[in-house]
Amino acid sequence: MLSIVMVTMTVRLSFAATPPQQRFEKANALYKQQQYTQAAAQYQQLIDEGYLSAELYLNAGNAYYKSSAMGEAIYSYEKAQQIDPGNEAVGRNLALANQKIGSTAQSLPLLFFERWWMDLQRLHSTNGWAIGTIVLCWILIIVFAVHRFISRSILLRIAGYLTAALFIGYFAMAAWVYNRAQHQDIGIVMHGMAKVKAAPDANSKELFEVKEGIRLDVVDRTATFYKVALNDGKTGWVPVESIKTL
Amino acid sequence: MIHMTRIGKKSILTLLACCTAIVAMAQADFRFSTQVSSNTVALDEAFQIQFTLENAPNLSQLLPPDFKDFDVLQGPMQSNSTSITNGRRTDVVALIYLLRPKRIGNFTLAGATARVDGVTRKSNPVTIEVVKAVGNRNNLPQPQHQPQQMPQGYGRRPSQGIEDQPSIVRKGEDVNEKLRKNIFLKVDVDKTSVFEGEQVTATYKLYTRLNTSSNVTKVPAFKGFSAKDVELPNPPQATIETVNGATFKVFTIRKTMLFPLQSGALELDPVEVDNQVRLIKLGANTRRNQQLDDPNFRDVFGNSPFDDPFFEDFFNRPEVTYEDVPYKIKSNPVTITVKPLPTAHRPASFTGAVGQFEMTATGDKKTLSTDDALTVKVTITGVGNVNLMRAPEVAASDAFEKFDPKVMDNIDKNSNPLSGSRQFEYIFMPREAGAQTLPAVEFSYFDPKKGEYKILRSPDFPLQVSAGKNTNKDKQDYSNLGRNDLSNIYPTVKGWVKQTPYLFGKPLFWALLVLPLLLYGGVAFYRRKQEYKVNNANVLRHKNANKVALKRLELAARYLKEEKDKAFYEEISRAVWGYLSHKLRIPMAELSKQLVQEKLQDKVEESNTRELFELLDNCEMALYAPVGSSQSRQHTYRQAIDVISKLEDELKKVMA
Repeated sequence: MLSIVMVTMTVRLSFAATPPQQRFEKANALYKQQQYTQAAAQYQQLIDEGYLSAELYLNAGNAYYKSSAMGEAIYSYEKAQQIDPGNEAVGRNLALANQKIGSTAQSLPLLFFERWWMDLQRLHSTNGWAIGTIVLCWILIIVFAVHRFISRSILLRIAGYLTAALFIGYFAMAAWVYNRAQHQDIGIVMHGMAKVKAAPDANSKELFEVKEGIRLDVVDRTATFYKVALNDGKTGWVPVESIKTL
Repeated sequence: MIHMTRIGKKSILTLLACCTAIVAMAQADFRFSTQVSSNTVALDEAFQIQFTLENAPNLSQLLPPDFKDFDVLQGPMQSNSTSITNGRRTDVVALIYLLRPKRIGNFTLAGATARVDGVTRKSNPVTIEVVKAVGNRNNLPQPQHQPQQMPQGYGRRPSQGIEDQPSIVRKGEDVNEKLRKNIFLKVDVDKTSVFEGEQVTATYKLYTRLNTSSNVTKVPAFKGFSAKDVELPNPPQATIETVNGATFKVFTIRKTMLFPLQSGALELDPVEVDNQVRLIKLGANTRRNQQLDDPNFRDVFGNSPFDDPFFEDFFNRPEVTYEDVPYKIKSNPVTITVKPLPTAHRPASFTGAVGQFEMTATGDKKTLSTDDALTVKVTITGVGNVNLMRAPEVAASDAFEKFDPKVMDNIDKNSNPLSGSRQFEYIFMPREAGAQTLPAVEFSYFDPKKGEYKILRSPDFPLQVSAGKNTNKDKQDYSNLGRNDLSNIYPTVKGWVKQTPYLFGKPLFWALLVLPLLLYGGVAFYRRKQEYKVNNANVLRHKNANKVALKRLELAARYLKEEKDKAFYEEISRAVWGYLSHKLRIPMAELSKQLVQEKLQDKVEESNTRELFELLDNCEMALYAPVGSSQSRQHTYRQAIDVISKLEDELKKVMA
């Protein structure tokens, strides 16, 4: 049964038109010729098709950076960092981009247990956790069945308890990671200024403006507005289209 | 002589008007004017009226107006003169009368009529205020022989201009009234209703007929305007203007081009001038002025000019005292109505330019590399608030690095209204190679004459940008990665993995979680069913144990009749064991006497058990050592039936 599922997933994955590497190299060539806007458009096309790679995002970020689209650039770097948190080039370019827009939004270093927690979350991908949950569920039931019907050995019982604990853990993590992915709590300001309003209403008072490329925490959301919080604690509502969530 | 000094920004203006000076005016144009020696006269006072014609070709007739309210004491006296100044010829014809009013009141003397070149011309009318005679005046002013407009070169002596006369304060004359009439400030504004940003020219002028040293103590601040002063000649030049028949020297204090910065009723502040007016006071008539006897004086002027009764009169007064009277004057404030610019149809590119303009925009290159810079020069030329013009926005894309434009002005200083050009020099550095287009420069202004906005637009600037040499910079990144350089792009991607849709929460996910549970359930159910089936068979067997046993016994009875001994005992044995097996739920294989005894122990009476085992022993014995008596076989048969029925009864009781 499991193998059938895996087969359907691989079928879905291998659905593509032209080899992406070719197009990636074409974009790289445009970048080398200093045609940054076009290069960025090429990279973005690959990203829009759903390819997920830190390298792709870094290149796109560089092209955006060079064509002065700082919002998109920072978004791409942040995305690359999300995929590959340890990448030095990404960290460096992100810092440069933030420096260029004059953002002092350097997140505080994490405490050790926060780091552990982040590492734990990154142990598997979102779907990794979900697949793990399923696999553990199967193992658990097989162990239980064997114990029940075939052999009542104490070892089996211990194995059963262990699998049950792991299953619960994986399920909880899968749910948590999925929830986090669904409700992104970090946004980047896109295209010029974002006007921050006092209420989620286009006619409400304008509190302040946020520059393109600034990183915001998304606290709350309605259909058309995000409630955002800045590093310095200021909060307000911005229209959905003016920021892009990670 | 006039001395005028302006010290710094304080604009201290010193005027010194001397009576002895008459400004030579090189007038080539036709002029016909009326001048009077004084606008205010006492009833018994004589005054002079002069009609001056300048440059009148083919003068055929010169008629005075009707002096019905005045007596003509003297005249008409006609004077003709010609002068050539700076190569320009001036012909002056003057008609002079000496008049004395008949009544008190205000009278308007119509201008004289002249036929010039066949066209009838009229000079300006003059209003004369006649007041009551004051004191006992013993002398009348004598008419002057020389018209005050007479060019200097022609006169045989320095003309004692009519300006002289106001300086003389006669006895009983009100000094303040005199000052008020003969010295004042005036503000000339060319328009009083303008649009925001439209030019207004304000001219502050000092009119004087007196000898005065003047200081400007307060200059207007022009609140709400952007002001641009028109340069005035230094020392100031006086012009002659005739106001109500009286000739005034006019000094322009300040001439400013004003551009309103806001709408509404804006007030032009007044200018304040402190004057020291030199007045001549006439005292008692005792002796002749020494100066007049001086032979040198006579020499200068040739024949004796002082034969004139007027001068006789004037200079014979020995006690002529001069007095400097301070007099402060202030101009009237002027209100200018500034209309706001219409908001309808206002172009997005409008930045406040008002006037009439033209624009040229040129780029210096069509092809360039990313190392080069493109210079776009935008020149806006025209009439209007050029000095306040802001740089038009060039909406260049992010593919260009932009710099603030360099502004160069070429404003005509002497122009009024303000005109000139302002040049904006934009520099663009292409960041990217390829075919790029720099969008058109758009400039819009408001035309106050037509009352509408105009948009000027240059063509687009298509550019062919080639990759410059600073690609080297990227190469250097490998060896010498500067602190501010981006890390290079990756040549390849490790794996082309697409973002998979989230599995968690999908029906598939839940299905896969529930599936093993279902499988487990299925297995368990199956096993349960199997077990039930087995159990069910046992129950039936248990129930039917008696019947089975009876059937076997029936068979045994047949064997008994047929005298098949072995078969008979076998059948009896089977019947009993089978019964026990089914009834006690013991599989055949496990069946043993011991087990049976255990099972039956507390269910069946001791005697019955003993009987059972006796029977089983008998059967075994008979099988291995046949005892041939038919009676014993009969007995065994009956015993078997007996035991089974007894066990059946007792087990039923126990089971129930």
